Amino acid sequence: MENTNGSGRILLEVKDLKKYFPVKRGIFRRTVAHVKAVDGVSFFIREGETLGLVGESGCGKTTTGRVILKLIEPTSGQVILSRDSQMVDLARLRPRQLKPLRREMQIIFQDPYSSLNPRMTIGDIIAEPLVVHSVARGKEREARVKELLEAVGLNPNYMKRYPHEFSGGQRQRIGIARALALDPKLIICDEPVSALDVSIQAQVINLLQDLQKEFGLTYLFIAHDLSVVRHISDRIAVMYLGRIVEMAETEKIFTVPKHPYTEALLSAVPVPDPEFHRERIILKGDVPSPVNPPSGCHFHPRCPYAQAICSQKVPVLEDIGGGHYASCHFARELKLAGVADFTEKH
Amino acid sequence: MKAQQVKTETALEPLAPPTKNQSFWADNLRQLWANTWSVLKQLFKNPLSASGFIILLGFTLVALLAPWLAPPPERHFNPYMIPQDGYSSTPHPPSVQHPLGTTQNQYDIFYGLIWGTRTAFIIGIIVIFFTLLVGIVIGAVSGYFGGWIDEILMRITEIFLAFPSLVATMVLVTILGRGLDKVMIAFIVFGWMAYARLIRGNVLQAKENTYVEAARAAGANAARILFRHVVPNAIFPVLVVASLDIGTVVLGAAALSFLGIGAPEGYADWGQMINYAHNWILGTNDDKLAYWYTIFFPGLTISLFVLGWNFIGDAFRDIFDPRLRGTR
Repeated sequence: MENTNGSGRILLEVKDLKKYFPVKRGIFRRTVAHVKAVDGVSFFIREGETLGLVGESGCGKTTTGRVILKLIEPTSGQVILSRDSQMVDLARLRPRQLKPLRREMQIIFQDPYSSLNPRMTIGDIIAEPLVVHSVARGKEREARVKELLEAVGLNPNYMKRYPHEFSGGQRQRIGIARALALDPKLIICDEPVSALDVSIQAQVINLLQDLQKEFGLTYLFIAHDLSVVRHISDRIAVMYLGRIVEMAETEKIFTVPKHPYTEALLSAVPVPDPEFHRERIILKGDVPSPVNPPSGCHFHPRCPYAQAICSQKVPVLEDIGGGHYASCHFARELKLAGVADFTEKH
Repeated sequence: MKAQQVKTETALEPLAPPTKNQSFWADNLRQLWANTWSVLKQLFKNPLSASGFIILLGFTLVALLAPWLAPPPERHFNPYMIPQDGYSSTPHPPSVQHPLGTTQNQYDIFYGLIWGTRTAFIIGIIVIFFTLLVGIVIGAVSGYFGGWIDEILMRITEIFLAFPSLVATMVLVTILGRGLDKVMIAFIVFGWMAYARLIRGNVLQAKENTYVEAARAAGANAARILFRHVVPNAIFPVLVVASLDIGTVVLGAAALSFLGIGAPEGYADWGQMINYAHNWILGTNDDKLAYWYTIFFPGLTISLFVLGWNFIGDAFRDIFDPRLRGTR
């Protein structure tokens, strides 16, 4: 299946977004350092496309998603949402100004167990965004909730049941219905399938794709599972230690990566063949602490191609041709291996 | 091409059959009944809690049936005022007209105890309701907003906790003046702190759930998030503790009445009954137990009531929080 979503109009643009969490110590709770969870992230999403955001645990993917929705206040940077051909910088808005914009963007959470209030019925959970924004009342609201339940493949009669009566996959569908309630344009999917069984992962992914077609949704799909991301994304952004290191169309990322970190990630894609032995790029050392990240390129201490400049100068995320963005001093020179080189016999 | 990693066609998850045309209320009522029944069943497994339950059931019946058990005399304006049979100060032993005798100033002991049951329940329920309300609001706001709001509210809570509560209550009642309403106010003012602390802790835990974030993403304001999402998930242990404190509150109120700063003169109140008895505990030189009935019946009533709550309390704790089973 080929994804050909995306009209070309930019829906969301994130510019130099930063989120530093203070580390406080001592009885006076003095700030002694900062965890640089998101450290200058820039990317854009076109209307109707799916941008996959991948990276290992703790690299700031989830924080990025939360900051875009202003569930966490950004330290600096811009989050520009296009709304009726107007550009709005969400990062600067006050809570009151932000509320109408919440209708445009919603979130689907990773954990289907803690994301539904156990003391509310499914109907109340899905209707909550409608109540908060006073869209639809009474019978009309009930009809809308039923419609949403049907859209995510659940029986509308489940309205009066409680979350504990449902399985993980069903709960995730309920979470999706809630996110759809206000007819948003952008949905941030924060690892929506990583807590589910593999068989159910496929169902939920397919549901997300069907809904995208039906409602013209735009997804920011945060995940760490490369095969899932490859399946659903039009473009992929790779994150490492609070920064985007590479962003390009899905096939380009997988066939001609331009950043050494992406190459290392691809070498870890599993191959369903027990006989197959391959060269895997094992990165040296651990992920550095985001409290005290390495100088220059964050990846240089673990990069097999690192040179002197890498520890001195921060590489810029720039277009190196055909919408392929990479932030590596040697992006143009390096000949890196694509996924096929790691997963096929020669 | 891309689809090779993810299997696209999988059988749909089996969905449970839908319930047919069952009304929301019928469903909820049945659920409530099922829960209550299972709690009752567990209560009766333990002889102590079963006897506690039976004792309290008895008191409830007495309170409800007071007008029939001890009908107020004709042209008696306030049924809570104990009728007096004469004005002699010496108590009279049980007789046909006065089944448990009369206490000082000829107040009928039986009548006072029956109507005093109502007073006890009224004090217990009203005081617990309002202390809970204050405690929940302060604790929930403190835990949810955190930061300096939390600091200020918790320091205030600690200041209130620093006073020995019975002494503080006594001082406040003395300032406000005699009367059961004043007693209840004093108990509320110095009674909410434990609930505030307990619910604050539970709120700190509940607010970390993702559904709170989901509500914020939907644009819900703080009040809605707090009272629709956080408090309902933090309140349950507090409710259990509070329901068990009814016995303690009644005992405290009786203590104030005993000291003569609680219920007004002649009001049906257990503490008051003991207060009337305190001059007659030791009878005459010939017969030390001459007036035994003045202290025995009111004392027995209060002891039974508090004992009932304590028996049931331990069982409640075991049922609702199995982790604490066998402690204390």
